[in-house]
Order: sequence, then structure tokens, then C-alpha cells
Amino acid sequence: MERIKQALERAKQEREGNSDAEVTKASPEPVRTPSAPRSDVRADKIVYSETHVVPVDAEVLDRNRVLGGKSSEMAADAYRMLRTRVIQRMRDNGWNSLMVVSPGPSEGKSLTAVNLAISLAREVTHTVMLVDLDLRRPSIHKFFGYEPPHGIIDYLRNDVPMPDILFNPSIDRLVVLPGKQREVNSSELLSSPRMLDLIAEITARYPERIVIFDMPPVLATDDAIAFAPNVDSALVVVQNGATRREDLETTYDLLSGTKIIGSVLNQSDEPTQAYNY
Amino acid sequence: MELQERTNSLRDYINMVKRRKTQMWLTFLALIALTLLITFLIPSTYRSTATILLEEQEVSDEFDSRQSNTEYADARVYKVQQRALTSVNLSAIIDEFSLYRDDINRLPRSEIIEDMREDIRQELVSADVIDPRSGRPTRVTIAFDISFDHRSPVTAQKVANALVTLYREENAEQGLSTVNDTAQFYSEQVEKTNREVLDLEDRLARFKAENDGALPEFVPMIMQLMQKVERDAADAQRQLTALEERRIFLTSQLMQVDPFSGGNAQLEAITNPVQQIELVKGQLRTARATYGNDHPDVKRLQRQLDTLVAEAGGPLGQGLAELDQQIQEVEASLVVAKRGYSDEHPEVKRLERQLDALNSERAATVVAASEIRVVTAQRIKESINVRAEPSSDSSIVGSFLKGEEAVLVDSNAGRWARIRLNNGTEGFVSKSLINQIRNTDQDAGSAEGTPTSPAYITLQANLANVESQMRSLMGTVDDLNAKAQEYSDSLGKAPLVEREYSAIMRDLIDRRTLLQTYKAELERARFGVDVIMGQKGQKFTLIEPPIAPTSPQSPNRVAILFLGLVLSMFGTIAAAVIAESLDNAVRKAADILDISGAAPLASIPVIANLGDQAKSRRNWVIGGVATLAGILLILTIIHFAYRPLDILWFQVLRKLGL
Repeated sequence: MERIKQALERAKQEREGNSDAEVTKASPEPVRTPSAPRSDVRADKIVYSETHVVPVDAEVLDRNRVLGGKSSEMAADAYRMLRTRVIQRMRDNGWNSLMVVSPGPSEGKSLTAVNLAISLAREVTHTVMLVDLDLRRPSIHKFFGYEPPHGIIDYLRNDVPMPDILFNPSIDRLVVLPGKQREVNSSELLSSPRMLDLIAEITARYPERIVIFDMPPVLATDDAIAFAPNVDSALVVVQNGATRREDLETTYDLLSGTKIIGSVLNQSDEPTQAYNY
Repeated sequence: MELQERTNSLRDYINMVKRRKTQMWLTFLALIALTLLITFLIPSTYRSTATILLEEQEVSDEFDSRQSNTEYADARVYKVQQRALTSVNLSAIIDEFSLYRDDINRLPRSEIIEDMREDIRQELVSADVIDPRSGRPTRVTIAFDISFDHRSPVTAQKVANALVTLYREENAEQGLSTVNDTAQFYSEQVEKTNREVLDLEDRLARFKAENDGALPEFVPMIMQLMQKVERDAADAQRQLTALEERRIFLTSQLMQVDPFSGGNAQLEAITNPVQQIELVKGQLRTARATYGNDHPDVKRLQRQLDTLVAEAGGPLGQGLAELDQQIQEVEASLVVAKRGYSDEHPEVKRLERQLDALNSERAATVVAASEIRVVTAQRIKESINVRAEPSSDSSIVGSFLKGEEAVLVDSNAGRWARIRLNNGTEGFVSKSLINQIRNTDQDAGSAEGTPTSPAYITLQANLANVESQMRSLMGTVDDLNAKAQEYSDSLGKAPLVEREYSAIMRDLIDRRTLLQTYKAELERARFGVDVIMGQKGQKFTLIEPPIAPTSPQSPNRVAILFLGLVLSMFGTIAAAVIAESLDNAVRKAADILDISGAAPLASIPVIANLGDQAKSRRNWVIGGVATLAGILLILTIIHFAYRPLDILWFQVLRKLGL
């Protein structure tokens, strides 16, 4: 517990100090946060010292339709478009956190979050943290074919140190905070002070870091709505043929207080300009 | 959800098809399966068809009273159809062939018969021809088909055969009944009209008997007769007038002559031929006594006498002339005898007696000619009344008995005659009631004295002769006048008679004409019966007998199959469209724009990973193999469990009618 307190203190300090040194301090344990410089952003080669680097099989990525896999590269252009527009809007508004939501389950939130994160990470100007906040059905780690030893719940409940939880799926500038166990009382947990502290810490720790939260379905639970005030913006994922129009409308209504950065249409069968280009 | 117009591009539809692929396939297969079931489960119906030719009658229309030239053939066929397809007839056929066994206990008879009528099909076969009478192109029904539909080809044929028989029988019967009706009608008409004619003829005969002589047809003849009679009457009147003049002349002559004079008057002074003859005879006698027979005077007188006698003429003249001749000869002999003998000589005495006898005979002859006697007419039974005046209104002065003779005193009083009865009573009787008789002997008592003057006697005889002629003529004139009156009366009645007569005649002629017409019609109708009986009229000839069909008439399985295929396609599309319209999912970037007011930041295409691709390929392969294997399996099962495939193939072909 002491370590946690220490960590929290450090986090506070970091927020206040907001310096690389503090970052290193904040991760006193084997966590070697990338020695990414703050503003020069030329982090071509980042070596993670504190985070587990998890080797990811390209086949796994392919199977899970994650960017980096052989066939998923077909969609890379589309994700690039998404990334660029998201970045533009975030920069314009000075946002650095984004939650990915959808009206219903299985509409491609997690995949979109993963691929968007990867696409963002491929730009060298910033780092990306992907947080799995779909506490009821955590799934981010599965996209990388990796079973993490701990999940975010462990941090919140069991004081597992953050560096032990984070992992890097062999993609530069991308750190994943996975979920692991299923959590029934996800809503409460999400609004717990510790959680809020954590969110505040990770979003504020590095100015060039973009934090992406994968959320549960808006209409299935209140998690997303409850959590919305803690993030800068929201990206609504719509899946072609799966999302119902009225659900989408309801979603927009529920998220009316949140700054919706935009939407993305998944599994689109409309031809895009990118295809023909 | 707001309803707003969304323009769908072709791409949208393609996407929809892609999305609904599975659903559409399932729908389509289900519909096709249904189609196949329907196609092959509908039972076959076989149609057996007979073609019947409508043969023109062999006998000319002129002789056929059925007027088939005005009756259209198709109308005839329909008539026969109505008569043939009666409920009774159809019911009999249903029973005979045990038709509609499934329904017979379930449905009322009338409905089964209705079903049968639906299964019977009658179709006219027409041809375009030029009408020989009008020269215009027309459409003529030359034949018709009768067919019957049934599950069993053999039954269909049998029933079709029965129907053909029914039609032909009804056709013959209809013709015959029509003709018989016609014949019956005309027969009655002929009988009735005949009666009327006979009545009229009776009436005419009676009328003719009643109005004999006034009938118009006799009028010209009667006119002619009347004219002739009038002419005759006029002639007779003229003759009568002449005779009357002569009588008056003779009477006046007679008055001038002394009945008892010697007759020495000069010939020139006498105009009466008889008196002249008497005069000349007297002079001749004197001359002979004076000069002898060869004296020129004697010869002159003899010639004069001959001439006079010839002029006087007549039988009386002849008879008198003969007597005169004998008298002359006897006188001559007496003169000779007196010369040789004395007056007392027997020879002289004999001659004198002979001469007296001859003279008396001559006188008698003259008197006989001067007096006319009458008796009652033959028809009078007892007597007739004698009246004081020539009128039936006057008083009766006596009675003229049958068998009594009376002297006709005067017959110049029209229809009345003045007679003198034997008791001396004189009076008038109707001429029509008396007959004249000729007196041959002289009634000495009635004569005042025998006139001795030859001229007087001759005159008297002539007068009597003339009067006799006049009486006879008067009778004739009366008869003729009566006849003319009769004719005139008839002619007066003629116009009235003629009116009624011509009315009767007109009726009679009308009836006779009508009778003539009816008889002709009856003859034609009877001829028609003969024609029908001899099958010489329009008849139904079976040119194509019904056969048991080898291929079913319905259902048209190919058509049903094709239709089912098309309908399945449409059904599939319709189902997809319906599903799509019910599906309310977001489909396009535009939908998001609608809802959120902003287009999506990006549209991520479907990411097919290697596994998906491989799976897709695998699915295709597996699907193909599975389908092939399934078909083979089914065929194998059919081949061994149901029916060998080659046989089935041909059966299917036949079912499809290929």
C-alpha cells in the first residue's frame, strides 16, 4: 500500500511538475518509461525500460484484424484518415483524451480503439496510451494475443503497481493498460476516486500523450455516460448493418454533454476514395 | 425515426443483395421447392376431343321447309348443345361412367353436373368463305369440337364418345321435331281452310239457286235475250199493225160487197183478190158459155184467173182454186150435156147435183175460214168466268165450261178476248185461259145465211185468215212482252245480288288461295320429314372420333415451372426488400450525417483477415462439394429406392410434355 501511496504522490508531483525527470521518478520501479523527449518528438526508436514489451505475432494481428497484420493493412488508409482527422480536432481543441463508444455491443469499439491507437502511434510526434475501460468485458489484450498478468482492476483494488500492468505490444509509442477480470460493478469502480486519480494522472502525465479509452456500450450500461465527464472527447463507432438508427440517436442524446469528436463507420461497404487511389 | 427520402444508388442495391445473400438464397430455394411440389403434385388431366363436321344438307333449300339457310350453323350447334347437355343427360352419363366418385356423396347432384359442364368443352371451328348468295366474305362455322377432361384418358375418351352420340341424336331429333311441328301446323291449317272453302262453296251454291237469272255472270246473256225478245215483240207488233190495216181494209171491202150478189161487178172496181178471183171466175164462166174454150176472150180470162189465184196465194186460195177448178169442169160438162140432152136427162141431173155439192163444199170451206172457235185451256179444270168488260174487276156474265166450244168474236182487246158462248151470251175472258180450235165444218145454225157472192166469200175468208194471224201474233207479242218484263225484273235485282255474290266469291277466292299456299307448305314440311328421316338434311358427321389421349391436357407443367421460377425470383426480391425496409440499421455515412448532423470521420471497410479469406474459399469448396454430393446422394437414393433414373428421366420429359 505504501507503494501505492508513493505512486500517487509521485503522480501528483508529476502533474504539478510535469517533467521528464519526474516521470522517471514516478516510475521508480523497473518501469522504464520511454525516454521520449518532450517536445522534440523525434522518438524514432524508443526503448521501454519499465514496460513489458510483448512480442506480438503478425498472424495474431491478422487474425484479429489489427493493423500490422497482413490483410488488415488494406484498411490502413482508412484508419490513417481517421487518425489524421482525430488528431486535427484534438489539437485544435487542446484535447488529449478520447473515449471510444458505440450504442451497442460488438459494434467494433475495441477494434477501432486498437487500430486507431496503432495508427496514432505510428506518427512519431506523440505517444499513445490505450486504456481498456470496458470492465465488464475487457478485450483489448486479446487483440494482441497476449494474456496480461494483471489488469486495471488489479491496480485499483490490489495495488498492483502500474508498470506491472502496462505492456507494449511491440509497437513503438503505444502502451496498453489492459483489463483482465470481469467486473460487475464497473460503474462504481469507474467513478471511484482512485480511478479518477489514475485517469487524471495518465492523461496529464505527458502532454504529447494521447489517451484512448475503450468503453462499454453506451446503451448497455451507464459506464460510458458516467465516465464521460472525465474525458475530453468521444468517438462514436457505428457498425454498418449492426447499429440501429434509433440507438444511434439515443446515444447522441445521452452523450449530449460530451464533446463528440465525430463518428466512424465500421464495416462500410461504400467505396472510399482511398480504395481507388 | 424520421422518414425522409433517401436516394438509393445501384451500389446500395448491390450492397443490399450482398447483405441479404443468405436470406435471399433461402427464400428462393424455399419458393422453388414449393414450385416443384406444386408442379409435380397437380394431377394430370386428359382431354379427349372429337371433331364433328356440320354437313350442308344435300337437298336444295328450296325444298326444305326448315329454312336452314337462315339459321346459322353455330346457332344450331348451340341449340343442340342446350338440348344435349341437360341435367338428365349428364346425370345419366355420370352414372354410366361413375364419374366424380369423390364428390358424388359429398356434393349435391346439381353441383356435380355443374362440374361436368365445366369439364365439357365445345369449340366452334370456323372458316372464312365467300357467301355464294351475297358474294360477301363471311365467317362460317363448318365444324365443332367436343371434348371432355378427366383424370383418366380412357374415361375421357368414353365420355367424349357418349357426348358425341348425344349431340348427334339431339341434332336429328331437333330437326325432326321442328319439321314435324311445321307439318302438324300446316296440316291443321289446311284442314281448317278446307272447311272454310267448303262452307263458302255451299253458301255460293245456295245463293246461286236463290238468285237464279240475276247472277252477274248471266247479265250479258239476259241483256242479249231481253233485247232479242223486245226486238221480236216489236216485229210482231209491226206485223200485227200491218195485219190490222189489212183487216180493216178487208172488213171495209166486205161491207161494200153484197153477200148474195151474182158477182157481175167489174173486176177493176174490186180490189180484194178473192173477189177479183170470184169476179174473173164468173166472167170466165160466162165467156165459156158464150164463146167456147178456144175463144181469145176465154183464154184471156183463164190467164187472168190463174194470175189472180197465184197472187192471192195461200192454202185457202189453193183449196178454193181446186174446188173452183172442179166446179168449172163440172159446169163445162153440164153445159155440154145440156146441149146434147134435155134438162131432165139423168146425165144432166147428175152433173147438176155434183155441181151443187161442189158449190156447197166450197161455201163451207170459205165459212170455216171465217169463224174461229175456242175452248178452255188445257189446265182449266172446270170453268172460267166470262166478264162483261175486259177487266177482272167487272161483273161475271156467264161461265165458260170445260169441253164447251165458243166463238171468238173479237181478240183485239189486249189480253182479253171477246167470246160468244153457245147460249148466245157474249163476254170477255182472259186470252191465257183459252185455246183456239179450227172449225172444219160449217155450223149452219150460226150462219145468218150462206153468202153466195164469190167476192164476199173470198173477202170473208181472207178476213178470217188475217184475224187468225192477228190472234196468233197477239199471243206471241204478249208472250214476248211478259218475257221481256221478266228479264227486266231480273236485271233490276242484279246489282244487289252482284254485291253479295262478289263478296262470297272474294272470300272463296281468298280461302282457295290460302288453301293452296298451306297445301304447298304442308307438302314442303312433309318433304322435310322425309329428308330428315333419310338423313339428307344438315347433319353432324363425326370426322374425328375421340381418342384416349396419351399426354395430359393440363397442367402445363413447363408453364407452371417457369411461372414458379419467375414468381420465386420476384418473391425473393420482395422478401429482401421487405426485410430491408423493416431493418432499421445504419447503412451509410449519409445515415450518420442524418442522425448526428456530421458525417463520420472515416469509413472503415470490412477487414477480411486471412482466416476469413481462407474460410470463404473453403466455404465455397465445401458448399460445392456438398451440393454435388447431396445431388448424387439423392439421385442414388431415387435410383435404387424409387425408380431407375433413366426411366424417371423419360417420365419427367413426358410430364413436361417435351
